[in-house]
Amino acid sequence: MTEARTQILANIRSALTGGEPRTPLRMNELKARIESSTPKAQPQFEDDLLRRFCQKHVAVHGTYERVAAQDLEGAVLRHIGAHQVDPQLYLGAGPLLDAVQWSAQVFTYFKSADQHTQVAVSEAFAAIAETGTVVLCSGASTPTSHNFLPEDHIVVVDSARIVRHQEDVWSLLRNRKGVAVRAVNLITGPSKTGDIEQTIQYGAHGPRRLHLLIVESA
Amino acid sequence: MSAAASQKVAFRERTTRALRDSNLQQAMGKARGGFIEKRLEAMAALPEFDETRDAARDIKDHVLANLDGYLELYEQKVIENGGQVHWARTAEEACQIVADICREANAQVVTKGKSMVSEEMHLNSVLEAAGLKVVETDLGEYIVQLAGETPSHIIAPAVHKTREQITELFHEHHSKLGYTDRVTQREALVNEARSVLRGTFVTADVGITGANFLVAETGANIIVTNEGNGDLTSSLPRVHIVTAGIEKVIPSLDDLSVLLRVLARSATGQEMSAYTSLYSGPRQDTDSEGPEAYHVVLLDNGRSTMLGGDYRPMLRCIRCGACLNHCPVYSAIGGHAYGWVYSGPMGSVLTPLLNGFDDSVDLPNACTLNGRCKAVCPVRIPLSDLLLKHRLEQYRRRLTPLFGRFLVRAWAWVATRPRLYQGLMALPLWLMHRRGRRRGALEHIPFAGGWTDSRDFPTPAGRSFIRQWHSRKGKS
Repeated sequence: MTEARTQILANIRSALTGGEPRTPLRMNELKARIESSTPKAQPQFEDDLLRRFCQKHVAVHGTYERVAAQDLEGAVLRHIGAHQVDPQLYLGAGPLLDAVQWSAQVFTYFKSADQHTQVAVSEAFAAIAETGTVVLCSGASTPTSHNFLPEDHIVVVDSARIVRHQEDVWSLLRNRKGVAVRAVNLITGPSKTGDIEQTIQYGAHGPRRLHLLIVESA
Repeated sequence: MSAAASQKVAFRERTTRALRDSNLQQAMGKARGGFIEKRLEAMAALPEFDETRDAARDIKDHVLANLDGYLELYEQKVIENGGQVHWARTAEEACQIVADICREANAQVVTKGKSMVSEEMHLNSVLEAAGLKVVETDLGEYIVQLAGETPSHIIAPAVHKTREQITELFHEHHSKLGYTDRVTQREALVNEARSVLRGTFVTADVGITGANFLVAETGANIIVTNEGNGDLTSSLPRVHIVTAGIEKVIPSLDDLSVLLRVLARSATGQEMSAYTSLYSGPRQDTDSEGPEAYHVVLLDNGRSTMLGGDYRPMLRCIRCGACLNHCPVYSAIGGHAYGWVYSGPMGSVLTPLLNGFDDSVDLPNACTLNGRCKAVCPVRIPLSDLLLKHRLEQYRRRLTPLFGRFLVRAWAWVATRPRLYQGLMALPLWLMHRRGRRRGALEHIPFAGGWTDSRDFPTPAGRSFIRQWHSRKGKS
């Protein structure tokens, strides 16, 4: 085991430098490059981030509704009503989602999704205008299974959390307080596959539908 | 056919078989063009594409020049996050490490996300021999697993299968699970696979995925899929194992963004694949789910040796498949004819480097040198130049046929004596000109039947360019 490690690293060093040992100076240079890392070659686009985000999300077969924070439950019920799904919701967490008072007709679960889960409602950590992507982070009350097992995934997006480029999400993650996140999922549209006749078919292994509820901050 | 069996058959024979396989030709015919068009559309929508490709190439070059350092930094982070890093010199060592982890976890069922490195290791057969049930979860990989085959394309493993063949495979393997109807429509086929695999996802003990990238900044492995199978494989089982080549490490998340911008566009013409995920270790105290153990197996298998020579640029490869999609040879014969897991231009460069020329001497020669592979590569690997370098190496090592080498030397001898060359060419040129003057093309040329069998040779001018040049100069 350690022998393999030693030998591979020695091989690499001899290929690169003729076998000179690694110096602390060089390691510090590499660390410094990581720490001072900046975005490179970013695409330029229009200034209206919300508009761009919605356009890109629709382009990848996503759907959305712009709603007021107090209408979140109504919007969830509208979506599942349209697809005739029982109002049994696996709930994630977030500032907007936590504030919803679910009425008696809605069953809510605060646990991991399983193979029978129909609907999960999450709140995005952030969203990316560049590509119409929502970003979800794992945590105590935001299980990763919610993003992949249900048939329908409903994601609440606070419009103030829509950033311009993907790199802006990395900045938000670096500045986030508390422990580092185990899983970060960048989700761009519903699950799909092109493996049969190279033709796109939606609903491969993940959610068949990705529906966003975009809440515009006051 | 298994990979091992297919290697014993010569490349030429596999090629002939592929060209006569009507199912293969039908499937490849459907795929042809689609990838190319989508990539062009994606490029047109990103004016900064070329600039981004340059940046991607520079990042990869920087990493390769400092590979030992970045691997150590990456390893430190994984350990800080509570994961374990294993180093394997060979495919056998890597298989052993994975098999040991599965045994210690008392595993019975293993799910797999698509991993070309695990194909390179022939991991499935090793795990199956150890008594484990191994299930591929990428739809394309699942189809080729049911067929007892290997992937024929890096990102579209079942590109060589027709819908009718998939219908039969599903019927044969799923009837015993209660799916007795023979389904023929795409949507129904996808739904059946989804439903069959769902049960496996939630019962698997170990999930094995590859990695598109390993980020030294955070210790995360990146997995890019459209189906979501990689994420179910990474998140649901008790143990998550990542298998990756040592060249997959990159410095920072900002570098990741540059590489992601060229990866999906080059592969499928998408701006982003549906799922791009960062997984950086086992579940934490605050997590309600996630694997209890997280292992990364770093495979060398000849890569550190490649680093020292002229073929280092090949280690920049991000396995997007664009060179396969743009190669006329690949598109005619499919991936299996190449005899190993990597096919197309990148495979023809890589296979001789990782396995030696023994079974792959024909690969660098199965190339028209049209240069499309080099032109479309997102990290600007000079693929066609590297193939030419392989040919030169074969010539030097006397691996090419004796007669061919004699011809090349004889031609070189004549061609470096311009007067002699002009003199010798005058008569054949004149004869060809006379014969083909009326049609403008020749249907047959003596000793060149192989060339003229499938196309005409344009009639040459009666006198060579140089002779005409000289006589015109004389007139002015």
